[in-house]
Amino acid sequence: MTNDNPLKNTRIEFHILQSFPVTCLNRDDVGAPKTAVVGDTTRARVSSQCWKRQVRLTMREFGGKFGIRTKFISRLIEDACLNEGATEEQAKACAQKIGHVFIKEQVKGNVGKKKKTVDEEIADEDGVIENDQDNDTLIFLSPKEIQLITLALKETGFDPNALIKQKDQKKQAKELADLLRSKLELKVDDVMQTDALDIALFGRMVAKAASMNVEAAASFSHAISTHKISNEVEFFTALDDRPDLSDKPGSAHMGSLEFNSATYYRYISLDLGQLNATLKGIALPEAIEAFTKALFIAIPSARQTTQSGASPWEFAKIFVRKGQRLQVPFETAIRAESLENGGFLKPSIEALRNYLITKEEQFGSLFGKKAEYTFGDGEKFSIDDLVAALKQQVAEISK
Amino acid sequence: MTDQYLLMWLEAPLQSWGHDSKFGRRDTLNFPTKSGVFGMLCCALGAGGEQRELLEELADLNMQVFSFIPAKREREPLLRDFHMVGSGYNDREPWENLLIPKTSEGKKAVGGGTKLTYRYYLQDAHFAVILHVAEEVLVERLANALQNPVWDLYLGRKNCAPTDFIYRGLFAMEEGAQNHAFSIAQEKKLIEDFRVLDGPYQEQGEVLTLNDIPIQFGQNKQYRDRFVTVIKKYESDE
Repeated sequence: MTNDNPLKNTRIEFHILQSFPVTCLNRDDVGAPKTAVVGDTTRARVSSQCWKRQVRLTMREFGGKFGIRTKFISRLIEDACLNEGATEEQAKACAQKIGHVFIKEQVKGNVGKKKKTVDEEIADEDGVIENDQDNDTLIFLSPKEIQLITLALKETGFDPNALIKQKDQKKQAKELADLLRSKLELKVDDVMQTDALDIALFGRMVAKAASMNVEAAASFSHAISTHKISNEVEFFTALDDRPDLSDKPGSAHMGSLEFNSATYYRYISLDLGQLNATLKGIALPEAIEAFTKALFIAIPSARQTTQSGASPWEFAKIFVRKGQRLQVPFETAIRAESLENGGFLKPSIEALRNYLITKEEQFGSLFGKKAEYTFGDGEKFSIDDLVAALKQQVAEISK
Repeated sequence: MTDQYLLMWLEAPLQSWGHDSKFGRRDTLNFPTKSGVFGMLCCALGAGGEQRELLEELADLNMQVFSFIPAKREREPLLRDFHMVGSGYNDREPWENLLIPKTSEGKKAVGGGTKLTYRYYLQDAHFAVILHVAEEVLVERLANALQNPVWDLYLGRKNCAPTDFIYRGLFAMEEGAQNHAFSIAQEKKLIEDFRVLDGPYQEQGEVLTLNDIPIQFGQNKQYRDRFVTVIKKYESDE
């Protein structure tokens, strides 16, 4: 990261408290709600990957530039070439060449054999089992990257072999990646840049050309309940609509599902320095807006048809800080206060506030706080207000 | 003479320090590895990529680890997180389709392509790590970086955000660092349950071979072996 990145070392931290009634937001392999032991008590847990995925999907509703994606890169390149004046034949040839660059070549000796699934291990010529991660051909290209490749092809008169000179497939991927990096005017040590917001926020790995990897700016912790939970069992029956046709009385199907109700503490940090470097300073406010809104709305989709959870943020502390990032442990499980005093939420809010205040005091100047916002404590402060405030804060720091 | 002993405090609800996991089952040791800690230092420095030189400087530095648990409790068992990749996406939607793993030819995999992975975490763990860095310039760089890290710091996996400050000071003597570690533990009402020394000391405890000294990070990570000695602390009956 260059030294003149004004947002280096700076991050937005979201400390969120969100309560859900009867739900099973995230299940393990036997269908039970996930848990973790913190401070010697069992807590409800929603894994980081679960909520992150939901935010990623929700972000697409908020506009902004996302990678244009089709099933095969080739079709995209084909359309783009046609747009830039290539003949159909040229466009097809270019599309095929580029599309093939990122697909793993068939291992020698496997030609004609049954296609292997992604879970099977593939041995190369030396009998060494390759990590099956290498077989993934997930590739996200941003609109700009498609455009750059197409224009580069145009310069060669749509002759794909003039653009990609390497014969070896491994080297082809690197050649294409180097081409993109040089078109983006990146030096060797610069991070890969993209204009696609979701790639910048959530990252990208390209197995065949790791110089195109983009490090995610957003980081999610596992959401953990602030209090002890015990999973409860929902016993259900499914009744046949025409019991008169059955000769057996009673329900057609009986089963049980585990669920719980919990107040979750969620910690999400957004590394502004990384985001700034990846987006090259363009559309930074847009990214922050889309991300924050998606973060507010997204709820994991597990069991939403029968145990629907539609609960928004109850309370949140949002910091813009330098220094080391920090989450609240809730090591001592929160106990519900009396009925008048609001269950688990109120004491959780107090514990959250106190922990953050204590840490800020203990570390003085090293806490590095630039701004602090509170959501849901009775003051008029909507999510739009938060977005506006964050955008402004980031703009000020960037000057 | 600069103080050479760097004290770090690693605490989070979930931590994970792997050393030899393959494929879909990502295990964790009971204590932080050199590769994990050095990775965290690189994160703080903003040192991405291979970093062969920096890693060579760090490789043979002495690293002591102290593990603490709350008094009167047993060590928690490992948490096994069931983590699926590529599940629940609509394969007819072009964007969502890209998130589903494919075969090596880029075609749809038999059975859908979803991967099942199991990732293990330490629960409720607290560690003090003392790194002996004799080189003056380096130790100051590390100390500053930990207080003002370039990238987000995490304990093993990116989702393991720490719950307390990691950097706890530089000390002239090893004993000073150890005492401070124990005073932090005492404040949090924790007691030592084991320590891990760098090197093979058969008479003192169990010796393990770990492949956790990083030679190179970046795309092609390389490691070499070292010995560590795990010394359990038994509570006296008095």
